[in-house]
Amino acid sequence: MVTQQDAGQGVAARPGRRDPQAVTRGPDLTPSHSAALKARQRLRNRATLAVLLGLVALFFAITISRISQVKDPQGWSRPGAIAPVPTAPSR
Amino acid sequence: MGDGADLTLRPRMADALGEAEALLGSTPRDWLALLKPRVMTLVVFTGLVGMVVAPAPIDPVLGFAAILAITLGAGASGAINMWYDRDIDALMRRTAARPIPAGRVRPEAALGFGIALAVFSVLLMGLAATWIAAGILALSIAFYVFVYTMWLKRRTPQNIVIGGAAGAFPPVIGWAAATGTVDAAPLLMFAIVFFWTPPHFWSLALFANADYARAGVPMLPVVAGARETRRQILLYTAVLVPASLAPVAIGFAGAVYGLAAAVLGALFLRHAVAVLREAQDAAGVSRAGDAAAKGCFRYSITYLFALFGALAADRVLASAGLATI
Repeated sequence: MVTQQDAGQGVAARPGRRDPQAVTRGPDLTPSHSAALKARQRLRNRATLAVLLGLVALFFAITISRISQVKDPQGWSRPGAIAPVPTAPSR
Repeated sequence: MGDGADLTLRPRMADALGEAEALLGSTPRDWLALLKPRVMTLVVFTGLVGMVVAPAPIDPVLGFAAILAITLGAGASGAINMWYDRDIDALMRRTAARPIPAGRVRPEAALGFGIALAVFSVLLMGLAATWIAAGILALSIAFYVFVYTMWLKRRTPQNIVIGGAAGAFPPVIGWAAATGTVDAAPLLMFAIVFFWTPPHFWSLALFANADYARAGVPMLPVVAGARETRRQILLYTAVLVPASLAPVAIGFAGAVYGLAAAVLGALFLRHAVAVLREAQDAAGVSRAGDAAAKGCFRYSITYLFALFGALAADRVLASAGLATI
């Protein structure tokens, strides 16, 4: 049975709680609005991508700068450089 | 303050802004607008100067990250402010087209965006620079949101005097990012921005008086009248000028800055006197279209940029051995 809602007139009412497959529908868009909506979604996605790539570059640069501030990187591998090495008790 | 009648303006403004626009949702520009980019420029500039004049150099990449953190922190404050003030923004002509009252960004999305940015900016500052700077950044965001926006703005005409402290933190943050400490010099920069804020905002409030009155925001011209506001603008400018010369007095800045501060301060005083003496009626309302207040507002922005620019130039020249303290 085709209801008034199915025919695309007006906003669909919230479905009953018992329907596990129920979905709500927003208002119908004209073709031009639909195209504009997709264009905006595309724009937002690209902006998000740009922000994420920018963050990757930023944190890479911060890491490199932080590492370069370490005066003696080779010292890291020396015994006791990071934490004291436990020595065996003398007998 | 006239809320009952004025609320009828809201649907009319929404109609004017276009239901279709609201239906299509946001653009990246809307999210940028939530960050109040105009306010951000001053914040970033004063933060940058705080970093440049600090005695300890900072790695350029880490310095950039610290400035980015200040920028995002300021933007986060702006976004949360727009979320909280969405009701009065819809009533004011100056702010009705902002993304939330216009319906392009949902309030809860703006709040989430603001909180996420605030957390991210503080973490970024801590990781890239120092955790002291991160702590001060967190304090400034909290001050702007909780003290200014939620507590003071709608309650007292002293809102921008006390709340102005939030905008005065960036030079301290910039300094702390470079040095890991807070000294007398950044506190003087804090004082300069603090005393600059009232004449700057009250000049704006004089010619945006009707907007604030319509929204029920108790700005000084709405509560105490235009005449008293003109007097207070001059008073705070008179305090600002000696405060701006204090860095010379304590030996932090030299002749280049001192000369610039004196000249810029004298010009600011001239603008403040012009606001006081502008042709006005018995209530202090301008008969000249608030030309003097508009001029004072514009000049106040130039003043802060030029003053902090002069401070940075003075310190750079001194460190290059081209000027003496």
